[in-house]
Amino acid sequence: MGPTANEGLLRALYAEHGGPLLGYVLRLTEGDRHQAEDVVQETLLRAWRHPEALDGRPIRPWLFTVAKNLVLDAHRARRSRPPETGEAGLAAVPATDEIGRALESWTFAEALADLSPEHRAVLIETYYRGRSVAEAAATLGVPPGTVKSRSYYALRALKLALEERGLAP
Amino acid sequence: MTSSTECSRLRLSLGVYVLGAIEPAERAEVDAHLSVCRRCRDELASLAGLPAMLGRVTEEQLEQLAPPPAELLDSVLSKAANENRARRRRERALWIAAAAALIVIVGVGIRAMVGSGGGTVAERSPRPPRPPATTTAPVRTVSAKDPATGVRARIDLQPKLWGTAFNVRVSGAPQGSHCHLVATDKKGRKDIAGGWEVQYMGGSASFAGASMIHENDLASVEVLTTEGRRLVLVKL
Repeated sequence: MGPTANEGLLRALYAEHGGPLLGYVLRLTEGDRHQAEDVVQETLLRAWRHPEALDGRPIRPWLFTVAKNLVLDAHRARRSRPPETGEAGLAAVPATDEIGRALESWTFAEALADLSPEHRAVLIETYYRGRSVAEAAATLGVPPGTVKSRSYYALRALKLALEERGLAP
Repeated sequence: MTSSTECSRLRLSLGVYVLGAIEPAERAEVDAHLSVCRRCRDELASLAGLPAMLGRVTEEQLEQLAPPPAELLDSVLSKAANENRARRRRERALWIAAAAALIVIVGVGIRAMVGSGGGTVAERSPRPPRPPATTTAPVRTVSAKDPATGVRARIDLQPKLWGTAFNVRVSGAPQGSHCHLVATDKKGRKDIAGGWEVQYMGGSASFAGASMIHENDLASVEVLTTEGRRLVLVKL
């Protein structure tokens, strides 16, 4: 089946994968948002043109792989000559398991997003912003004891969310 | 010694303990408790891997999880809609080309019947040109020169899953001839192989064609004018 006016597929892909895909590509383009959005558009259009390519396989790895190749193609096209063996250009090519690690990291992010806002907030304060119990308590406006118990239950909830995704720590 | 209330109180501190947010005085207290409480040590072990996983995610990623702005989706949708429209136009153009070819061939057939009567072009069926195939296969080249007309043709044949692709170079045809290509299979069935409206303007002209006949079933390929006059026959 060729491409059809299948807006639904594009909308669904965008809702489910648009955020992580753009986030992933933004890293590959070193923050060049304009290029990243072009790559995301082209990646989604390719999925839409070839829905048979998505049959029976996980969609996100396919999207990440296509997007990475588009970024690499653009990178090579900008260079006057294609990279030769041993040249520094090869360093710009991500390792083969780079996509796997990126996919895993987005799965962790989604597990975190599944937590209640209170649980997520306490982990952001203590882990990502490096705040102590007293500092986090002041920022969040809760007693220190609440920071402690919330941190504990947040980690237990995170562990469950990861296990549900087949990613036991 | 450790009481059960102390155990439950300190267990709740294991979260901030592994996250590194615990106050130093309490850390010492938890350490002392862990040295004597196996259940809390087990609990600590089950949480200990989580900060490493948190380390694989940036705070930025959490904000990027939400779908990007709707403008990007709108842009993707409008590109998809444009592609759909362009595709429908191409399909319409192909139908129009096929209809035009049918008119030409019916005309040729009538002229052939009214004219010399010696035509061999009765069983052709109209077919729009096929898109170039992407697979590459060995190319076979055949050529011939018609001693009567002086027309020379050199034809590259490329086997395809659906039949045969042709690339034809013609030279020596009368200027202004409208040429087309007819393939004939071993049972004598003929198939218009495209290029029916190529105008020959002297020198060497080339055009591409395609036939449903598979390369190993081909008996001959001929270049005809649209009036049905044979310019050159290439036997295989």
